[in-house]
Amino acid sequence: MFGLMRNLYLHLQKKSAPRSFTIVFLGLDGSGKTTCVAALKGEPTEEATQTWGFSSEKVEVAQSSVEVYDLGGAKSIRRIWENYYAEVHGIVFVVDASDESRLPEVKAAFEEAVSHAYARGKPLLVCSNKQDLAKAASMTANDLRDYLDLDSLKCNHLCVDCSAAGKEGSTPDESFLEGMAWLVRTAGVQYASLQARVEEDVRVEKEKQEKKMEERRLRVEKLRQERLEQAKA
Amino acid sequence: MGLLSLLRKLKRTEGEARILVLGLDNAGKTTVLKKLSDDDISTITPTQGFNIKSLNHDGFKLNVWDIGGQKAIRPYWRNYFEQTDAMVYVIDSADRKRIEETGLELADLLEEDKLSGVPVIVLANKQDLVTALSPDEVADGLNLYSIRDRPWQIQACSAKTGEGLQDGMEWLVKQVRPTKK
Ligand SMILES: Nc1nc2c(ncn2[C@@H]2O[C@H](COP(=O)(O)OP(=O)(O)OP(=O)(O)O)[C@@H](O)[C@H]2O)c(=O)[nH]1
Ligand SMILES: Nc1nc2c(ncn2[C@@H]2O[C@H](COP(=O)(O)OP(=O)(O)OP(=O)(O)O)[C@@H](O)[C@H]2O)c(=O)[nH]1
Ligand SMILES: [Mg+2]
Ligand SMILES: [Mg+2]
Repeated sequence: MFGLMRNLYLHLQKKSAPRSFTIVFLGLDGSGKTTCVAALKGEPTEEATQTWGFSSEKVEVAQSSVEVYDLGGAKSIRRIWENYYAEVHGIVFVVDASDESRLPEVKAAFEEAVSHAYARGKPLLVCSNKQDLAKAASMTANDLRDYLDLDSLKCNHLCVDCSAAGKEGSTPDESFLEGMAWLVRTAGVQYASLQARVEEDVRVEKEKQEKKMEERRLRVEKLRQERLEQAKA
Repeated sequence: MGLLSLLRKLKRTEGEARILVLGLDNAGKTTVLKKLSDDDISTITPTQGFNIKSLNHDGFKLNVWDIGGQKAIRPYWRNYFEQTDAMVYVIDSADRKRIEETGLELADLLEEDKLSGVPVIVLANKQDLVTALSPDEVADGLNLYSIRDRPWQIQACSAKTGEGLQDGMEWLVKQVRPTKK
């Protein structure tokens, strides 16, 4: 009897088990992605080293467990971004609003990202970061939304003013944290369809990867043989 | 320049970290280590076994293991996996012919239980040569973006000039969680 109840309880628990989300941070180098992720973790915003790769962190946002991917944004590493789109439920795009000179580069990188087949239509949070700097005054969230023409996108989007690293000892920026909560809740509402899409896209990508690795092994083996024969001759 | 100044800067006060340096023969592993220690780099010969460099600062100890990368001795790499806190994987960025080979060796390493979760920095070495691959070409050649279970970073560098080495090591030491050993 108790066993049965326990079983039922476990089953129900599984059904209502909190869903888990994966979210990727994109944006040019120096825009503040790593600083944002540190703020999410509630860590003091010490000077981050430039990211030339990938790291992931598990955080809690809006009572859900979220895995965030922090990628490098420099021009000669940016090409890796597209390899992560398939598995995410939402995208955060961080912009250094104080640097007007790079806005065209921002726009190009942004458009390339959100038009990718695996990224298109997924919930999107844009952060107009570094609002603590006077130079950011001409690029508030509203300006940025127009500049990036967010309203033309067929996805749920929100653009927030943000200051991931402000004055020393400042608490994580409220509007950024609210933006993150919005993103996770929005992805939660569409979870069933997003998750189905993620599973399918990840499956397709995995197959492609496996094929690529197999071809690679054959090529490397062939080159090794050639070298051996050359050495003999 | 040098590892010691890095340790000072990071103000790590406790514990010990073991760092493993791997990569194909001729990648520049030994040169990297010597350059970081401000040693002479003009007379380096292929490593048959291994070299260790130990550094102490304020009770924090960094042990760096540089293992030979020739094909015949790669099977012995596994003898050094135990208790690794971080891995440096050095590649010759100008050796385009072997980029896929070094990628496969790395892929095998990443599947090792004893190295699971160990942060890895790829030193894209020999950037002073004009034919060197760029970071995204290296990421592609090594298939780095299939990694999900640990942080990874690419550092373009030249062990010959020393450029990039310090930045790379700084990232690496930051990844090492303080441990009590
Ligand atoms: N004033 C100010 N500085 C910020 C803010 N957010 C980030 N920064 C600074 O901007 C610099 C870059 O921040 P990162 O978080 O490393 O930028 P990133 O987007 O991760 O850059 P990559 O790793 O190169 O792609 C650091 O010096 C941060 O301290 C902000 O809101 N205000
Ligand atoms: N141009 C250039 N040459 C380099 C650089 N780093 C190393 N080399 C050269 O590459 C060769 C191999 O360097 P090593 O440090 O012995 O390579 P290793 O990875 O330790 O090789 P094994 O011990 O055989 O595994 C030497 O001739 C070095 O002088 C670099 O950054 N630029
Ligand atoms: Mg970063
Ligand atoms: Mg050597």
